[in-house]
Amino acid sequence: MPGPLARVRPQDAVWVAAALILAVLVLLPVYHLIVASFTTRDGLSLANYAQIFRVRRFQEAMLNSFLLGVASSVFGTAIGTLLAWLVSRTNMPWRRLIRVCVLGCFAVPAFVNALSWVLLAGPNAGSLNQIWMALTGSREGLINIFSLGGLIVVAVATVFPLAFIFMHNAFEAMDTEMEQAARLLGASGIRAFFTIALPLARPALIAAFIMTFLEAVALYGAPAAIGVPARVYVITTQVWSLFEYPPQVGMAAALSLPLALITVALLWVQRLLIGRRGFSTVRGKGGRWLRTDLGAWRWVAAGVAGLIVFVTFVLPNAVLVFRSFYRETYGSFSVGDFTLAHYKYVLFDYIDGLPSIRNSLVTALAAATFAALLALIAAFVSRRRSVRFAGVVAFLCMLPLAIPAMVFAVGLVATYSGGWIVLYGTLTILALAYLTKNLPYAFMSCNAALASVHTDLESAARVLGASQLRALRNITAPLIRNGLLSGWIVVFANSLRDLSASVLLYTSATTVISTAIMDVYYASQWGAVAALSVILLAINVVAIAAGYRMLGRNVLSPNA
Amino acid sequence: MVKLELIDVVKRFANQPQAVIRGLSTAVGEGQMLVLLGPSGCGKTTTLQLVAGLLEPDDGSILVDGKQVAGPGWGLPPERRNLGMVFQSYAVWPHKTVFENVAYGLQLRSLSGDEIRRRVQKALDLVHLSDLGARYPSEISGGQQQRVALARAVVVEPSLLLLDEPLSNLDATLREQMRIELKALQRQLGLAAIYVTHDQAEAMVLADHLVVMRDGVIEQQGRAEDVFLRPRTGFVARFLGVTNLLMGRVTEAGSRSARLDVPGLGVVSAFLSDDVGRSLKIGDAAGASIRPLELELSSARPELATNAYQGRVRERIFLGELTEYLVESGAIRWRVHVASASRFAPGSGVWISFAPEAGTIVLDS
Repeated sequence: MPGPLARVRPQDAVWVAAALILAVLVLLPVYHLIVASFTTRDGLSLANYAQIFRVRRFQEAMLNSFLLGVASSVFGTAIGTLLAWLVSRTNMPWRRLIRVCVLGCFAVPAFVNALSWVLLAGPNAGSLNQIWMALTGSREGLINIFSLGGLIVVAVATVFPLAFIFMHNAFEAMDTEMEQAARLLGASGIRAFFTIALPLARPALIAAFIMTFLEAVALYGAPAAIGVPARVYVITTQVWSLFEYPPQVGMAAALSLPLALITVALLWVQRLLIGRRGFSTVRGKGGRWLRTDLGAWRWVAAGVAGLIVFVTFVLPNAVLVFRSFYRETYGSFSVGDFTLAHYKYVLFDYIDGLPSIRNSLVTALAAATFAALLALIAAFVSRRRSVRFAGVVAFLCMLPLAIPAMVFAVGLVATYSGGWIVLYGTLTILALAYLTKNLPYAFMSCNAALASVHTDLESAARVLGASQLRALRNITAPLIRNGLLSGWIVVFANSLRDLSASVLLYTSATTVISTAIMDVYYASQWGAVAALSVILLAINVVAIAAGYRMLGRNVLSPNA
Repeated sequence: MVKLELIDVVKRFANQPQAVIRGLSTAVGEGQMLVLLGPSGCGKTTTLQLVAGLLEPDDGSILVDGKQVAGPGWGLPPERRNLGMVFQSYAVWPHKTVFENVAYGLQLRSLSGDEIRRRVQKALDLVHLSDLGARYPSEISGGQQQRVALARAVVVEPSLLLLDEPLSNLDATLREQMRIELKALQRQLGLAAIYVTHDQAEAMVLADHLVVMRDGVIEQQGRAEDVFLRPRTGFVARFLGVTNLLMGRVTEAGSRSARLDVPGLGVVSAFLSDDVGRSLKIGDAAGASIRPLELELSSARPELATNAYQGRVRERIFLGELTEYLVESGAIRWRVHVASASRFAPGSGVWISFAPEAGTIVLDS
């Protein structure tokens, strides 16, 4: 009779190992986060929460976060939906260009976008204000970005592309025959949009509202760069302030947990609202696209859409690049003032310059590689029906989606700054944050790639005489390679651009590009801010372009 | 009264060098069903979209109820043509109930609630969905969705009903049943209709007027029976069912009949229509189309037969009531359908014959 160990199948061992690693990665920080929020010097109590809800500046921060979230969600979704409709459903000119610009916004980290806005419209440093003062001789700038209104504008500019993606995908997937049917029955193009297309896109609309809200509430860069100087505080900036010496991890945990709870609650509401009533319809011939003819209005539409992407994408990035190459002067423009001095400074003179770039690359590479491997194993395990509780693995992989990066970072600090393993102050803790926070994307990518590989493909090889391992190597591996690679690239790019977790986890020895940029920003070294940001953008673009070359067009979609 | 008229319609697409519709003219009379039949890519769906107003013609004009709705480079938008259309995908709106789907067009016409309810109910009765008004499309079958699409199109009393391969997503049994129902409904309502399909059996059942299209032009149009029995071109003969198409040169052409010299076989006499006769002269390449059922098999040469050829049975395929013989005479392989009672063993010598009027002279294409 076989002993108990003989009954442990190899796939069970893999499953248990994967689940354990995931539990340590995901659950441990969450557990410590919750425990920390109840921990005070006098033992476990609700004192931290009491403090959070009693102190005025925390109340204000929560109110401001809510305002910021709602305003960004409403305006962001409106703008995103309008642009998505114009681009995918009408005969507006320059559709392609507009779409490319909106998608281009994704290549720019949110905090870089915020800093660009300061370089553009800050009261003293802002180029627009400098031009205004030079032109009018006025001693005051035209626009002051340092206000709640300014913060909202920047947040809207940051989140609207997300709404655009949801709505654009929905409109593109919708059968045009749905709208054509309404037109033939006598509905005008606009009416067909409001009675047919928009209601059909309702699931995407709900998703757009919720995701833009969550994105805006979780922003750290914009509130830190724009809100703090204006004395407008939100939850994320207050969590950060609690880490100033002496750090109050318990309070930070109590303040950030509600953020995670709101995220979980809204994702749950979204599930509830959309539910299983996804509208799947029989597709028609597709083929030719009936676009709503806007008549002469199409030029107005193109003007409005063009202005939106000019202001949100072209202008901030143009200013960023310009300022990185231009001497800091307040005089009039002169060609002689172009200079490489800022780059020379951040690369060779600034003490944190090169180390931060190296640290960013090392942590991003490590996070991407481990995330991709772990996601691959998890995807395999979770797709095998034979493994018990395989769903747990998938759940653990997806859970970080519901935890804002900064909240997760608080959990990591609570876990690894005391006790058995002290990781605070190492690059490892940064890599852990990047890895875990982005694990869902790597998992989705691998999972989708695996789903597209029908088991019959592998079986066909087996029937022809290949061993299980050989079938895996010859058939399945090449087919999912693209999914794995695109997952890797997403994690790598996301790791490089993170600020909100890094800002809680870095120390002077482990500074990364994003935190270095914030340091020179606080020192008002605008040229250095611009130069380092351009370097960050360049690394990002190179990574994505390399993926583009390797995978073909759909670098960021799993089934490339 | 003519409900729809297409006059020399031309349509080009920017990315294609050749026009997809090249000078198309046809008309639909009151209560008539016109079927556009052709292989995929022949332009039949494009034609329908031009009529619907989903596309604009580059040349020619389109008239609905005698009123011009489209001309070179312009067209009334679809919502101002008073048409009903049933799409291949049904395009039944999933966020509206069956009732709401059907009522939509009436609401746009600002009718009173009572009137809308009455007419929607009548339309639902007509398509046998009387009790399903409160259901959502996801709660009914594909065949029922099809009926909703039909009710939605006819409830507004359109000038013209457009049907774009409406049955192609249904299974075979349901398709045949719906064909007959659709025809009955269209007759009952006296609606003029255009029906697009690539299924020749469907076309035969439904068409009052059959238009066979190929590469953007009309290959032949007329009553379905006439087109089937007297194809004008080799393409039409082949497209509408199985046929034996013998290619040769015209040696003699009279009124109503002609002789063809078929290499490797001999002389063939067959029916010549005036239309085809006008396009042919002695020495031209042409074909003769003879349906498998029109051929006769015998062991000895039939007396008095004009067209009789010796051959050898290569294969015998039992089809049920009929048996198909593949017979070889020289370079020609015949397909012959005869009643299953008669039996010729594979390998045996036979005579194939047919009456001149059983064959049709067709243009080479």
